[in-house]
Amino acid sequence: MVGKVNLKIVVEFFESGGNYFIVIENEKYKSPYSEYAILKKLLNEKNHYFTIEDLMLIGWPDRVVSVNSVPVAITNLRKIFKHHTAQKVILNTQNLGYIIGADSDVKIANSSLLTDAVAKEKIRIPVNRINQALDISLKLPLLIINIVFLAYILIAKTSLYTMKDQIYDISHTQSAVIISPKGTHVKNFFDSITSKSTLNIDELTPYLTDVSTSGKSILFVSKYRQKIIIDCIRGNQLDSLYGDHVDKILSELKAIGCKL
Amino acid sequence: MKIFNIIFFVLLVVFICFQQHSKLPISGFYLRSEKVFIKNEQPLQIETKINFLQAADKYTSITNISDLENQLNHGGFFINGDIYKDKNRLIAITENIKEISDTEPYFVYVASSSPIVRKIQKSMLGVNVKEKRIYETWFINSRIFCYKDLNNNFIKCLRPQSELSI
Repeated sequence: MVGKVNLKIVVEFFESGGNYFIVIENEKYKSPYSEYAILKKLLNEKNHYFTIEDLMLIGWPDRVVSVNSVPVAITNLRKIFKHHTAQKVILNTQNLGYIIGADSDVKIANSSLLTDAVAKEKIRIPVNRINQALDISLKLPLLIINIVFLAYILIAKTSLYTMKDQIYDISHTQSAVIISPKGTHVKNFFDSITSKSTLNIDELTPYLTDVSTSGKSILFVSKYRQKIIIDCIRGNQLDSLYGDHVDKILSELKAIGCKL
Repeated sequence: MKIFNIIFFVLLVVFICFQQHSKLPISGFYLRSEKVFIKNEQPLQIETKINFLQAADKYTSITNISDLENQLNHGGFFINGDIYKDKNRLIAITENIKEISDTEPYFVYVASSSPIVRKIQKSMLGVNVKEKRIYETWFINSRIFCYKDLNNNFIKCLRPQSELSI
């Protein structure tokens, strides 16, 4: 039987950041969800017996636990109440189950009453847990993957478009000599170079078109692995030469009519 | 965290969408005929015919290497791969190389950026087939197509095959 009491001990329940708290007379106890849910149920439905099986479903709705888990949870709850009252708040009657009597000196705060909305919240609690698990196990790695992937693309693009120089040396003689890259010593092959200017790729096309229409030859001179590459353009004619035999290449250029 | 995830995911999607390539600046058949003069070696001629498939962002080419003086054929090879425009650059990636069967067995020649015949490791448009090649390109008189290999800093040109004076 539940003893009579004069003063009611108010119990409040709240959840914060995935943690569950039982507050008794302004004393806050952090507790597992199972103890929180069992006590809340017992207080909400005072004078009603709950079997171990009932309480297992209430305390651990999303997993299977040992039948000993319920007595352990009840023991922990009783320990809490010992700090506040000499009365045995949670009673156990053989073959009937656990109960908090209607005349118990413990009552639930109005704010913690199990209304329909709160009942829904209770149902959502496991969902919250899943969300928390997702936060940790899925969202964070996803965020990291997103950031790493984006950074990789940006870095790859940056390195792709910051390559070397884009400068061309232009000399005005009978022909336009475009030497790439800038400063390569192959320009020494051309004695008649008299002036030099630098054009970027956007300026190059109109310049070369003007040179070509004025009847000049256009020479592209490059050096690659100790050999030179020369392309000579005269009107629509293209001649390409390659090698390390410079004298032979220059005489060939003259022979084909490339103006040097 | 969710909001950051969404922001980065949207950024990623937007970035990938803007990665789409623009139209290839060149289409049809082009040719490069290169005379090769190496000290103490017979002069050679390397002739490459390329078909740029603008709609598919692909290229195919056939290269023949022959003796410059007596036109003796030393063999050749086919190369095909992807080629596409990315902003103002042209990107080429070789997909397949196939030797022409009558290649001289012991003929090995490194021709500028052209391939080695027996151990083909290079391509007409670039140097290392395995690497992505990046070019700046321009036209002269709207006909001659020139490209600068940005990895190796050399310039080469191609002419339309219709301009052949053979």
